[in-house]
Amino acid sequence: MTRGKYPNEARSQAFAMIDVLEQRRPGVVERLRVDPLVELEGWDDLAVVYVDEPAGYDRCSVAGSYLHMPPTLRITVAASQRRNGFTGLHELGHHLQKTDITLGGRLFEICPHESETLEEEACDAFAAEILLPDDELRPAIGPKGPLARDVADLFERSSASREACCVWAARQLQGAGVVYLLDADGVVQFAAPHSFIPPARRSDQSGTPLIAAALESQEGHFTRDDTHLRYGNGTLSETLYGQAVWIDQHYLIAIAVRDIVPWKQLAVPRAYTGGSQSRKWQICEICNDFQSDETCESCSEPRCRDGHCGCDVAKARKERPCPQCHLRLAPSRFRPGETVCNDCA
Amino acid sequence: MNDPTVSDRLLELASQARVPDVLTEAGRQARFGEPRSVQVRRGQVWRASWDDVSLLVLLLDVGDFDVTMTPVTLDPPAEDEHCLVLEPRGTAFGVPVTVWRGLQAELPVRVLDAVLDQWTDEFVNAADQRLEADADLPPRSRRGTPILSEFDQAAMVRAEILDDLDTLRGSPVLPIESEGRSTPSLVNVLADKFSFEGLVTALMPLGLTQAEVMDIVRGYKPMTPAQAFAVSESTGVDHDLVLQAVRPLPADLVAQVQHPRLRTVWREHAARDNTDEAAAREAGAYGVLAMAARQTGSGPPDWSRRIEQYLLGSRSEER
Repeated sequence: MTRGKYPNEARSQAFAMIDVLEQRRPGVVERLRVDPLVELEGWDDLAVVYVDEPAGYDRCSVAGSYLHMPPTLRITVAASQRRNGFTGLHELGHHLQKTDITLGGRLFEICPHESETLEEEACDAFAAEILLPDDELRPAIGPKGPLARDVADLFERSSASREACCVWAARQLQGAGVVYLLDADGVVQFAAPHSFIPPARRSDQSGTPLIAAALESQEGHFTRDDTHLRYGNGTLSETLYGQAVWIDQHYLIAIAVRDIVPWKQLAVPRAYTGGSQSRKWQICEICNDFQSDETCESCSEPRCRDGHCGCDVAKARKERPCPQCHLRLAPSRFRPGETVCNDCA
Repeated sequence: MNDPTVSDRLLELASQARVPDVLTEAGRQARFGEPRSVQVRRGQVWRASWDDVSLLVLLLDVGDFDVTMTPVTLDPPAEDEHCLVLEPRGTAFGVPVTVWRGLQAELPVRVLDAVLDQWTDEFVNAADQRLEADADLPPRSRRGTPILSEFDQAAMVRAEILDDLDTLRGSPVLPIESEGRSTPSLVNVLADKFSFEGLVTALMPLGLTQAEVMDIVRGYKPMTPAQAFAVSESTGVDHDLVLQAVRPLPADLVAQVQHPRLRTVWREHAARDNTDEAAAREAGAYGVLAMAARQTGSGPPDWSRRIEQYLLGSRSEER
């Protein structure tokens, strides 16, 4: 399932979910914001079950799930209590959409064929809006967007995870850039982009000017006008304006932007400074994901992280919609000259 | 010394017929680990079963959906000229074992029930007709003798094995997704007559929740004839078309759901829901598919984790 296809619809559904929640339990949103799991555990019409991560699985590959009979939120216990909170709220989002007919109906009304994708995205938007309400937090940052210090403050003041704070901050950037979370070795743990290619998870940024300076002192905050991002294939981004701040001595939150720099009066993008001349960036036409280093043996095209290659693109291009069943089907499913498919004809 | 009484003699005979310790549940667990974590491998002897049919099989090749096997019998003594007969000391069974090499064939993994023994490569290679290992039979084994008459008991045993294999192969299958084949969803089938609120109104009187109606619309829950009739009545769309709007299951999910390690679970569910194993397995598979799961990272769905979480939910339901 591709995430991020319906950002506006998901956000609008999230607000509707919050309205339904407030109608059912007035004042509950504030309590969920403080400690979602403690609040949810007190509900008598909903069970919260914690599941240990079994040995042998990638950590938290399935962070949570929702079963509707009886309504149960299951949370795979992660080290971070805040992350558990996000998972609990995400699963609560499923509960609301599966028990309120207006919310459920909206999913099928907005995108009847991808209602599930919208439901998932709405759950994420709902959890994010509960933990980090835009209307309340936006006044705390400047008109050009957040400073690195603002993101650290947000983490300290809210119940949201570091990752969620990065996502919120990236959404507030006015120009192109990335808000990223690094460990104490300068390795990326998470990156939230805003109209910019983010560094890969687990990529080492310790050699970039901004992160190298931060690693040298292990405390405080840093600003550099000449930093960049190092991508997984060894290439460098164009020169960026950057700011980083330590939080609890174990993590760094950094912002790297091309233009509209929150901490500068005037900052223009520096053109032609990228280090990626050797390789053109490609975006998968199927899922908009970034390419990996794999190449398809059949079509010799790069294969994206979801496994799509030129074969899928060619197949997708050939498919056409049937006006009766609304499925996109291969040309072989239509008789020559027919617009409806063989099944519907 | 007095002659033993009849009851003593019967007790003595019963103790001789006792199941060897290695074949008891505890013995098998000691050899192969927890039933939920057992791996299916070449060289294992499994009990294959479905309904009231049960057969021992030696596994020669293992795939996701099928195994290549050769049937094995213990009693009554029977063999044909293709058989390999092993002496009691060679296996865990403690009695002569007949390997019906001439009946080597494929069986669906879903009928494997309990692992009983693991044979040495020497025995397995000799039992594998494809390897043509007959020239050099291992010690403590011999080739079978031909069936001389169709009235011979061995001929009957052989025929029964063939019947059992047919029954096992005929065990209910789950619908599996295949590339290039698309199943129309209920949204497609109902087209301009689709209304979520209308479906909820039509199906709730039959005891369905909103969440279950959403699963039906998305093809995650097979409809009963009565439910399809209600949808058909409320929309005017043909009953048979409505019934077909169930999506097939991803192959990876089916491979995991029908793995022998979960058979006990589906049987427990069947007993709980007063249904049969096939229906319980199908309900479980679609339940896992329909379960809303928050999965981190990219890549295909983690069906193992989802099944685990689904089963945890089912257990909490029982409590």
